[in-house]
Amino acid sequence: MKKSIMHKPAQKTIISDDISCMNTFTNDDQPLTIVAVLDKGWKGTKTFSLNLKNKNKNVNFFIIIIAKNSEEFSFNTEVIHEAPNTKSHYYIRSILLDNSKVTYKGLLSIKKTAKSSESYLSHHSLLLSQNAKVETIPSLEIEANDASAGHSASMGKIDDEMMFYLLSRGIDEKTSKDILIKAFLEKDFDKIEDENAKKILDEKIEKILKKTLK
Amino acid sequence: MTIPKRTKKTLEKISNQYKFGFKTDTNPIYKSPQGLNNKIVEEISRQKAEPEWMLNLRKKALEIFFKKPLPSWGGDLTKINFDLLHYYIKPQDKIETQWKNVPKEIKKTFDKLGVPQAERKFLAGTGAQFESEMIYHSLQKELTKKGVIFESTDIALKKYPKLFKEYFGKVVPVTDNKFAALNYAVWSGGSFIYVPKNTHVNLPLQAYFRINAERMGQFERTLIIADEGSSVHYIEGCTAPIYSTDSLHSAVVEIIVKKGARVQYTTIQNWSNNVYNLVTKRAFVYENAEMLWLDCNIGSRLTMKYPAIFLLGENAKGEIQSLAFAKENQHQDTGAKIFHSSPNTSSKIVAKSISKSSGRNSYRGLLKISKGAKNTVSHVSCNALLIDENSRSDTYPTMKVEEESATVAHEATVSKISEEQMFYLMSRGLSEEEAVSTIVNGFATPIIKQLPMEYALELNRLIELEMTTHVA
Repeated sequence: MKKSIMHKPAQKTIISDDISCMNTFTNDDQPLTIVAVLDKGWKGTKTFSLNLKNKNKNVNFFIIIIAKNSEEFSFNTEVIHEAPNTKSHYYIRSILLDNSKVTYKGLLSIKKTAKSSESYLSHHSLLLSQNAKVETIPSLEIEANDASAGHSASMGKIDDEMMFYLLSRGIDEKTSKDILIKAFLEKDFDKIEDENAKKILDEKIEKILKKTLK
Repeated sequence: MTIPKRTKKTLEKISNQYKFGFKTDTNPIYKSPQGLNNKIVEEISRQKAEPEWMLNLRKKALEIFFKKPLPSWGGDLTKINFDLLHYYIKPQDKIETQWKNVPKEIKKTFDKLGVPQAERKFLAGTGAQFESEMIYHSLQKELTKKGVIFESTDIALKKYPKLFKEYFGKVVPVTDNKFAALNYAVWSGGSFIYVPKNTHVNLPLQAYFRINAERMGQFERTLIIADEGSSVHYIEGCTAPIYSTDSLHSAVVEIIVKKGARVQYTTIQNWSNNVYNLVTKRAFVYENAEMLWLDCNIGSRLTMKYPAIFLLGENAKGEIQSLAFAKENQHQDTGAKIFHSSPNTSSKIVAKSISKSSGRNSYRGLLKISKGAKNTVSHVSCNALLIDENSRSDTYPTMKVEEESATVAHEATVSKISEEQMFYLMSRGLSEEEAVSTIVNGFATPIIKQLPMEYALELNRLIELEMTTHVA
């Protein structure tokens, strides 16, 4: 029997601690994964626009925000699907401490020409301080009916039940909290294929959290 | 998925008439000339023999209307020619409380729409507005005895001046937006409802709005006050004849839900395709009170309507459920706004939209949780269904959270009718059109099932009709 070999293009994964890495985009049909771990805010609003003009292009963005003090993280992303069978996924997770603020506006637009395209966006925030503020506007503009698109967003505090579970197993409050915060931030990483990248990310986040959550 | 050719042919055979598109020849007592100016506003006020303060308010509002620019977002409003509209048409000189006294032509119109029949069956009270004025109003005797007020807003201004002045314009200020200001300037008709403390109106109250004349502007004004511990359900329905010229409907609805009260406001909007529907709806909800907007938009050329709820007291609850249907040349720009400003408040938004044959649906929402509104919970979900390849769906939800203890979740999906679903249904013997219709109905059911039964049946039928017509 003839063995069919599925050719799978190599998944390129970029890890950065600067949001401008979102500009690292090439106009080919290579699948691309970009992960940004951000723990320093900036002034003003940054905008990242992306046009998917090449067939079968598949992009994944993971943005992890650890906001503290009075830092502000204000950014917009926009993806326009023009070519058929293109895919884009934005996974954004933020935790907010002190007086920090996260403002995010994400637009997914699927044009009529982008048949069978897929676009998804999620922004989940964990508020850890009474004075933190978060604003989210995930928008959709869908003109092709043969497409699938969606977004989800949530804002909330650490789940009481989860805390109770950990505490009831003899883990102290601080450790329980830290475990849940880290798990929250890394929840979408199961969608990253590159195991090595995942390991690097895990260490990176661990280090930042250690410094931040005293 | 596209509707197959064979189905299209069958569908074309079915009549493609908008059921409510007929018009009636009437002789109105007064019809204001086209256009809008101070003189017309003064004339409206004079005809209604209003107190001085109302006239002054109208004049002030007109200035604000002229000053404010058209909104730059939402649908295309540039085609509305404000100079060609008639802003006030008075069909008769008094409000009837006996259906048999309503003039014949008008009666015939409402008979055709099935309004008095509905009343006999399951309503506690009915109002009917024809052009600018309420022409008929009635309320069950027991409710009148209990002190429930259900009147035309014009009558309420005369009969209950103190109560009226206390609440009028407190929820939607005159400066709120351009179309609210327009409504303030030329408002006429609408319902005024007052439910006294601990009184429950068990059957719904209904008002029916009909635009009959060409180039008509209808500006009804509704004010509902549910006093402590009371409850009421209000239903409005709207239709109009089909003209090649545009008409405008711009209402303001203000609702005050006091401590422990509950109000449900149900809209079944089925304007003809030449009506611009630009409506401001808002409710103030106090301690332990509950508000539900149930908003179904099937008709109109462009609807811009975002029912709002302000949760102002502890444990207040707000819910907005909407269903929008956009077909050829239609844009439904609808949404929901909820402001949490007290602790332990909760809210839920469910918005569903169906777009077909180049119809466009937009969801525009705002959810704000202010600092201090501790332990609030809110859930927003938007689902869009695209029937064919020319339709379009947009979602613009905004969420602002300033409170750590809040729990907010939002989800949105856009989907089409999947071939799998079609295959499943058709393999069980359903025809293609039945299968499409079943899927659409299943999608809309969570909203429709909350309507009173008679309306649910009517809406189901309407959607089926919309699904089978206009397939060109």
